[in-house]
Amino acid sequence: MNKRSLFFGGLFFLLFLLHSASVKVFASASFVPQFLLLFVIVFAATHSLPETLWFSFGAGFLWETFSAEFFGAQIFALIFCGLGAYLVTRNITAQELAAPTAAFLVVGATVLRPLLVAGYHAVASSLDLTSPIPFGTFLNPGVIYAALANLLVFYLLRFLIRLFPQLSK
Amino acid sequence: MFSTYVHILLAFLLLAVLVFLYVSAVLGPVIDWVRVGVDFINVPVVAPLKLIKNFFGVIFDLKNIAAENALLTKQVEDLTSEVAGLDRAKEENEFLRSALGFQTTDSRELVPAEIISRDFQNPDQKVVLNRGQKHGVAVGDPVIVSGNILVGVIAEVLENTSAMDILSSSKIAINALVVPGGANGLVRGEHGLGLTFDLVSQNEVINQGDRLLTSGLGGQFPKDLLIGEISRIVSSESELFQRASVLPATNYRNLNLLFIMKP
Repeated sequence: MNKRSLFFGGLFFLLFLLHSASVKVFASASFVPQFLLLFVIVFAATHSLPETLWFSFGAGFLWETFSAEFFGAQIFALIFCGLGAYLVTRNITAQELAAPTAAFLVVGATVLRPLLVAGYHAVASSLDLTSPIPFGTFLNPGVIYAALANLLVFYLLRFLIRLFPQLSK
Repeated sequence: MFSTYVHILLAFLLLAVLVFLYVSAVLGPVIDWVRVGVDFINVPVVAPLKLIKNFFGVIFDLKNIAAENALLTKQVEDLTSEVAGLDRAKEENEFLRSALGFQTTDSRELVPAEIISRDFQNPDQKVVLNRGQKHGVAVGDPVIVSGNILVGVIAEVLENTSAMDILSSSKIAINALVVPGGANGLVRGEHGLGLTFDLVSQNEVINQGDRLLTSGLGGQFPKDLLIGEISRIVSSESELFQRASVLPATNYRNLNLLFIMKP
């Protein structure tokens, strides 16, 4: 494990701490930005696919700690979000994230993640591994607020990366 | 390119292994200790966030404080006289129960607990508490706050921590009765959005402002725990059962210190 991986691992853990503390204090978490998801997107845009894959996995594992869904749902969802962000930034658009691309990525991932979690949980409950959760629990008006909060923080992160370009290396 | 596919395959293989370990209850202690660790490390992060919340909370609530103060003063006056009457009725009730040889109300042991964090996805449905198996907590234990207000049920227990389904969670269904009147029905969680009182016979009378208590039927919950009050009757007379929206007795987003009721 090199220094860079340790640095990003530490950063992911700090964001996880910030996220769990924010959700604990501001219980109405719709407006609490999903820091781990945002960092997975930023990471995917600036790093290789294997790195994106394993850091998304790690972020998902941390997210699992406080998840009410069947184990693995968050890991599964974040892996797909990470891979999706990687493919979008490599194959469809330029690697430099333009504002509309960034908005598309963030809103897309914010909506896609609960859908993936719902799908995973539905499969697990159909196998009798857990009890089913209604679909409305995953996709509700709170997603709109979450997307707005995520957009706000994402542009802030993007600005910071431009200010400190060594973060993207 | 081949190595990329190998990485993806390995990641999903690892996920499958972790799921297997979780189902076999091997991974539980790891998650448990991560939760305990996060709760410990998070103290310096939580403190400034609380300051920010309180600061902005005061600013936003400033215009309501005077009106709220007047309302609360009136409520305190009303409740003080009600409590005096109830104290007398309680003494009388206990005396008559013992005279008739009836069972007195059960007193359960309470385990105090604090919230470590909430579910990131649905903070209004599930919270993680800092008490677990080694404190005697078990799945299905009711959780209350001061004032005998029922707020949730223990859904999952690990060694040091446990997860609680909040009453507004979609997994909740509790036998309840209306005071005054005694109409019976079922209180259900509405996917974290609120509570509904359902399956009430059309012959029963329920009114806005009536209180809802646990009926004790089924045995999971002790009777007479406060759930909330009826805020609106949403069904029509042509329906088979009456249905009403319920205003919870406490704000589930402001929960902090809770008590787990051991059987």
